[in-house]
Amino acid sequence: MLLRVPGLGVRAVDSVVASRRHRRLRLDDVARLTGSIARVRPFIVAADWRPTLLTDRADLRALLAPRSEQLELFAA
Amino acid sequence: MTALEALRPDGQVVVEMAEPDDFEAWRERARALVQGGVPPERVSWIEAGASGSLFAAAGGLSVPDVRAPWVRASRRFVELAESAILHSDPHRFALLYRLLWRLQDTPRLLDDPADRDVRRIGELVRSVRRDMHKMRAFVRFRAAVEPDGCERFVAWFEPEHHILRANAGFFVRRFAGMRWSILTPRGSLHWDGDVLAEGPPAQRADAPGGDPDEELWRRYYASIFNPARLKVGAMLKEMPRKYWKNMPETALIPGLVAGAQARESAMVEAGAIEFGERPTSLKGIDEAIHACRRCPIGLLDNRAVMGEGPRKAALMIVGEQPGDQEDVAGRPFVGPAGRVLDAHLEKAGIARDRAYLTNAVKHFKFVPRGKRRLHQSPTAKEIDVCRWWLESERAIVRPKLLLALGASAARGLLGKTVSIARVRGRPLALDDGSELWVTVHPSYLLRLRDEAKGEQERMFQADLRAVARRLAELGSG
Repeated sequence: MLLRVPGLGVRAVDSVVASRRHRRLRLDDVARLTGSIARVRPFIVAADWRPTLLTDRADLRALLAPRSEQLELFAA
Repeated sequence: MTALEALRPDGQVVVEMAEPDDFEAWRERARALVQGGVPPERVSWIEAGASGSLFAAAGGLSVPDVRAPWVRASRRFVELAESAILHSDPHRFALLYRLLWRLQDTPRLLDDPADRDVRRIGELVRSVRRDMHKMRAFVRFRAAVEPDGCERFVAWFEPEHHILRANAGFFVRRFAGMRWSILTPRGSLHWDGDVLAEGPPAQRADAPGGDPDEELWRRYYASIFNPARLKVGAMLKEMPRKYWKNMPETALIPGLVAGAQARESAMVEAGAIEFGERPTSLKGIDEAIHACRRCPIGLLDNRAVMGEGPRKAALMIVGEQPGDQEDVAGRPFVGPAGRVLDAHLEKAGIARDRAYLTNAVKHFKFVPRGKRRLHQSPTAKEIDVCRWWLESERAIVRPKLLLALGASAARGLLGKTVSIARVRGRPLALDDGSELWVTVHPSYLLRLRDEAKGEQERMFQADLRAVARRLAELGSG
């Protein structure tokens, strides 16, 4: 299930699983294991974190997905 | 003495490490402190030379309590600590002590990758390992002559961490038979063939500025630089700029990078098949194609078949490649397809002996099947390679009209593949002002049966007649 969370890759999930054997993770523990905690935050519950309203926001995708960018058409 | 210890009035224990990379000294002190029950917050670790007057009132080393429990540390921690202590971070001793302290209560602490201290020690170890690797790659020795006349290789290097001693074994094994010195701002190593000696910190000026072999090395570096594979980002990742100033070849890099684009496009231009000087006579081409091995066809058991006909022919007929019989006879269009062509040429009123007949590919391409050699079509690449010879022939004969038989011949003349059905029956202008007519190859007629054969023969005949008419026009005009 963890692998389906946007923003958690194989390495981060391996680390999370290994750490959970020792203790409950807090949000800043997860932040240390991932590239961008902002992307992961709406989809996880940690010891000190609960994404109450964030998950149901209509513009959630706009907040997280990388912005599309028009590339230069006539670059040299 | 490798470490000094002092107890300040506020209860803070201050440990001064004499050597920045001495793991054993740290281990001994840390063990005593853990046994003495001194928590990490109460210990300050400093490197020698960081502060002078601290030990005016030195208290001496704390003696561990013999009844204290044994200090435990996993083998993995010892391995990591041995490496991490080489890092230049001044907080590394404190970090290691904090980890050791916590390991007493949590023996499996190192298995928790989310822990701040565990992550930090991992970063230190990685950074040290990378620096050691880079030192092995980027130390550049320069020859110097000793007072006794022997040669000594001296290198100046600026490592980021305290890795000189840890890396010494590598250089001793690698250059055991030479005398060398590695000078760094933190110390130096000297190898005389038998004994490794340590020296004081050095300066860049202590190392020789250059040596005559460096020019050779620079030329080698420039010659292995491949402009078509330029990846500046990857190069900078593997060869960070901070190491550049002590490497002779790096002075070339900006020029090589800047010129890469031009060199690459020049290579692409040259890649358009260019064999050098064109032969100036048909005889010259004949000799040259016999020696041509520029495509795999030339390596088969066959011989080159040169075109034949008058040197000033107005019409050049280009076929695909010699067949089995042409290869044996050494003349073009003498096999079954050649006989079909002869018959049609005669009917259309074109004299074969007044036209120049040749092939797009000069060698017979085949696969052996028992005693027979089965024809195989040449690939586009092979046609393009052979185009050089065809163009050389055209440059000498200068025909006003060219007739391409089949798609291979059309490619050999146009340089691109065209659909015969689309271009047949009308002239195409070529670069040198001549006209190209395209039709099917006579061997195609041989493969057809019945109605289709009759139909295609009529169309072939019509194409030939059109060529004959055009030839008459050009001849009179």
